[in-house]
Amino acid sequence: MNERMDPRIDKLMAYLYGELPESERRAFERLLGEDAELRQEYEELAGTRAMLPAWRIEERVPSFVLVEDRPEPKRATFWERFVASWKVPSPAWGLAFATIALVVAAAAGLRVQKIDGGLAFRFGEEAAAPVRSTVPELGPGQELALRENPDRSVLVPATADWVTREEMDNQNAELVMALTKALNDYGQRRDAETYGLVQSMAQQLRDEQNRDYRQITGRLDTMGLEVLAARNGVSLEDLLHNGAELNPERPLEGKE
Amino acid sequence: MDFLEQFPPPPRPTGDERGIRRPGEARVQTFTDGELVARCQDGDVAAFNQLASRWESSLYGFVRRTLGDGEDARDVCQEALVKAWTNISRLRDGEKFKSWVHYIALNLCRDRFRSPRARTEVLAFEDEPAEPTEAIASGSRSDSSDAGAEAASRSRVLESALAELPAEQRTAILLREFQGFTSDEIGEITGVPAATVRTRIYYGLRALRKSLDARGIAASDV
Repeated sequence: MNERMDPRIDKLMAYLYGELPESERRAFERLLGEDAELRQEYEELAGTRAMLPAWRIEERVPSFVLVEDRPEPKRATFWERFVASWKVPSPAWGLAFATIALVVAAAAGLRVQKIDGGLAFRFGEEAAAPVRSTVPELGPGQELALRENPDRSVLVPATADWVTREEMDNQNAELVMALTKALNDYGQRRDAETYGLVQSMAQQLRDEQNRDYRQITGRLDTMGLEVLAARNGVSLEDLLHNGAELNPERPLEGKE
Repeated sequence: MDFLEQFPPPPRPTGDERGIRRPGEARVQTFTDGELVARCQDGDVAAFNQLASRWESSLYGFVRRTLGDGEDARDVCQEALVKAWTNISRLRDGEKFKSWVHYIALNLCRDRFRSPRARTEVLAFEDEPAEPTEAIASGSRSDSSDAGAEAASRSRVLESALAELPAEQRTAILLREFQGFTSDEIGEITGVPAATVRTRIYYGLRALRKSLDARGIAASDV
């Protein structure tokens, strides 16, 4: 196809589509009035244009919506699936089996301690009375102790006392609920399989609690060092690796 | 030259320009394409869906008329919008979104025409006898009481006549007459100067007129 165009035709097309600047438009309209051939061309083109809207698309225009990619839902752990599979017992049954649960748990080594006006549930041998976590006042030699003692227990005693009330309440609630549900089922079935499951769960609970305990105390250990560094106006990096000196005049309170 | 290189980068919209509401301001706000594109570039899928909703009718009409098949048109539109979303960060002037997404769709249509299957289908479509012509030109129209059927016949005649045009002329006419693009915008979409676009439309309209005359259809019939 020849795509070169007579400038007059180019102006004609620009005029046809209203793309001619105002100054040129008036001049071109004068030309249209004078040139019959050009006017006829214009009228034919305009007539053809007028026919085009008759081409209709009858079908409904589909609607397009982009759906955001969402992350795969988190896969429930064995424990979550196990808990979700149990029906919630009636309040009376719940109370009864909660009591049974506590008795069984006590037999398995569960201890209940009163701490800060609340109750703490723990397995295992009774530890020494929790030490209020006051970090001992630092003397001139304690920087060395920090380096020599890898678990840094001299500066930040890792005791259960660091566990917050909220964390403890959550753990206790989960523990009681889980045992209640497990024993509720065992009360109905009285079969060896369910009993084995309860025992397995109790072991899992012990393991979980021990692991959480280590995580919490480990985290608090680091937090305690950060507090120590902040109190002495040095960075944690300097405190741990660069031999930053601690100010013995600024004793630390272990728990903020 | 790549289509995107023709557009200079826009100034980054400020928070106010992008429709962040101040206390006491009116809640209703219509975003421009540029504002919506800026949001898309921040990962806002809802903003993209607003853009899609704004231009889907134009896009579908263009693709549907280009391909001649509704199902293919749906596929191409969907693909074009997905491509637009995945490449939205490359669009430097958000106000050009409409041109850009039609450009993407046009290229997808061209890809379809290049495939053997598409060529067969297009040829088959173009070879269809223009039977509606007789119904319109013979004067039997006055006997027909179904105005809807008559309109459908006219539509098919025009579709058939436009299908006979060379692809570049048909594309220019579709973008100009049905999608409302200017010659400059069509030039950006098709990669030719605006004067060339006007030339294509001129020759396309003349050829269309000739085709309709051959079928005995005058402007007053349509």
